[in-house]
Amino acid sequence: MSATALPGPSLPPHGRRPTDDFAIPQRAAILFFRRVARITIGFFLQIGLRVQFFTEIVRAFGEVRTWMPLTVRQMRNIGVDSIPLAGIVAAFIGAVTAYQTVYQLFPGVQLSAVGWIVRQSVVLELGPLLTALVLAGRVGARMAAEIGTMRVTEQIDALETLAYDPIAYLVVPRTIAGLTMVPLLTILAIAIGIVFGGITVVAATKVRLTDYTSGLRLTFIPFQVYYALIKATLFGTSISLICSYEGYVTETGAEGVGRSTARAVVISSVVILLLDALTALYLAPALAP
Amino acid sequence: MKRRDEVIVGVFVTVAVVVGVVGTLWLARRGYSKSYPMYAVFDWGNNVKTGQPVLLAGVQVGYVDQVHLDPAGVLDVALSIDKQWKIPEGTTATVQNEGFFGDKSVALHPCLRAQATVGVEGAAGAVPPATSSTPTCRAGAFYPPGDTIPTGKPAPTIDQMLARVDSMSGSLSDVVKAFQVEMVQKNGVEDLHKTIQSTNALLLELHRVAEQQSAALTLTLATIRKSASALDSAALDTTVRNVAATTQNLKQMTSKLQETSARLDSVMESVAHGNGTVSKLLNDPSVYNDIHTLLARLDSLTADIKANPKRYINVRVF
Repeated sequence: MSATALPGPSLPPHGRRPTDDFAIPQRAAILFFRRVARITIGFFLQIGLRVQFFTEIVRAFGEVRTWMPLTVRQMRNIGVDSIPLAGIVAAFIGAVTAYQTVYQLFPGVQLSAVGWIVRQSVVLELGPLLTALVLAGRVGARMAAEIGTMRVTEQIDALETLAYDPIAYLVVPRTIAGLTMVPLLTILAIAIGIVFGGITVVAATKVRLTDYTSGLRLTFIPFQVYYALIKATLFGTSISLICSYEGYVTETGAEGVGRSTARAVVISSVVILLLDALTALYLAPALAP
Repeated sequence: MKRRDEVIVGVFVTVAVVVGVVGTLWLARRGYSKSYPMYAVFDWGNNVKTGQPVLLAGVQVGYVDQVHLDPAGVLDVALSIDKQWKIPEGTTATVQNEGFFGDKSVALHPCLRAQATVGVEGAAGAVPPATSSTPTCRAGAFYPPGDTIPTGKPAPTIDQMLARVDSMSGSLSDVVKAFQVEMVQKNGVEDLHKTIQSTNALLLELHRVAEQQSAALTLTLATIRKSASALDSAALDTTVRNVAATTQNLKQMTSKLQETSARLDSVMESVAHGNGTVSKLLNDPSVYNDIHTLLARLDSLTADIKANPKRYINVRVF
């Protein structure tokens, strides 16, 4: 046989990609689809990494002696220390909602409608949602920054060296604290919002206290409180898990900590809003009296 | 203090749980006053919801506790009534509107006191006897807890009121259209203007006539006053007295004429039916016959005298 080359695709010279010889439209289409594939794979990769992280958390729940002593400290950080901020936000929400409602009523509408609207707004929506968003900013950012700093300063590696499970040590206490404290904070926020709403309208408008309390009780069913607690539990868990994860995967120094913190707040806020919509979608029909 | 965090978290958890439980109970049970259940049955479509107030004669005495949708076409409604209130026997329950925007409340209408008294004493006729739709009114009697309050006549719904308003507005629209046709398209307004102008002119004319008549009447009255003032009261008195005397004389003359007339009547009666000479002359036919016969004889005598004068007349001179 002669040594002539066989017909077929010729190998590209060194440093060139196979698509470099293609026409420009073909190359643009290939680059577009390549990017779409990379984004899609990256999206599913992120989901997979988080699922893996969550399974690690579930596994770490077995390390009771590791996370138990630290949980109360995190409960105080997340719950007790957030009372002033959550209380101020709730007080203003209740007061402004009640005050606005009084001046939006048509003539002839019962004044007790003010209490009813404040209760529905604060209990079902504003109390859980705004408390969670405020906590996402205050607690979530702190959580991501703490864990991220420990990551970039290799304290997490040190924990592993000392045979501590870093997830049981860092993430599980925060998750439990978020799971339990956010609903309790939400209860207090709802109560503060309703009380301040009543004080505002009674002091500043012609609405009487009996009108307001009568409206508060109108069409009330206990499931409305359960609904708020379900949402608050979901929100608190989301804040803890998302912010812990973002801090846990922090890279490249102080800049990475800042980026992780910002991403933690953004993602947890968006997830809170999505969960709010989903709970309303699935549970709101059960709220009908 | 080593366990400071635990204490603080414990306090926080306790307070939050207490606030949640107590607040929920306060909202769900309308405070902490004790209550007892009552029941009512309404038709479907009354928009009854839990938490709506229950009013007894306008006073809130409880709230709607539960609403059960019965497939038979009714709503079984559980009412929670405060312990301090009792529902008088004969009370009826209706769902009434609260405001214009569909708010509802359960209104309990107690029996009137008069009806209650009559119901106790059983007075006949004053009040129709109680039937199944008109519950018995007994003063001092109350429904026992857990009883079902009879349903009264429901208040009109917003839809019914809107339908009524709609029909009224339709009628009003028809009236406006007819008014427009008559007053605008058929120049009714112009006619109305003309009528008003004519009426104004007529009124002016009447006013003018009235002024003239008033002036004439004033003049007449002045003349009458002048004439009245010119009359001599003494002469007038004498005249009146003379008129009275004349009247008296006329009266006496009339009575005498009546007497004379009565006498003439009796005379005429005796002439007509009596036995006197005049009566016989007038009424007896035999007299007439005798006179007739006499005249015949005189006639024949006269004829005989004419024929034979010498038989009757003998003139002798010597």
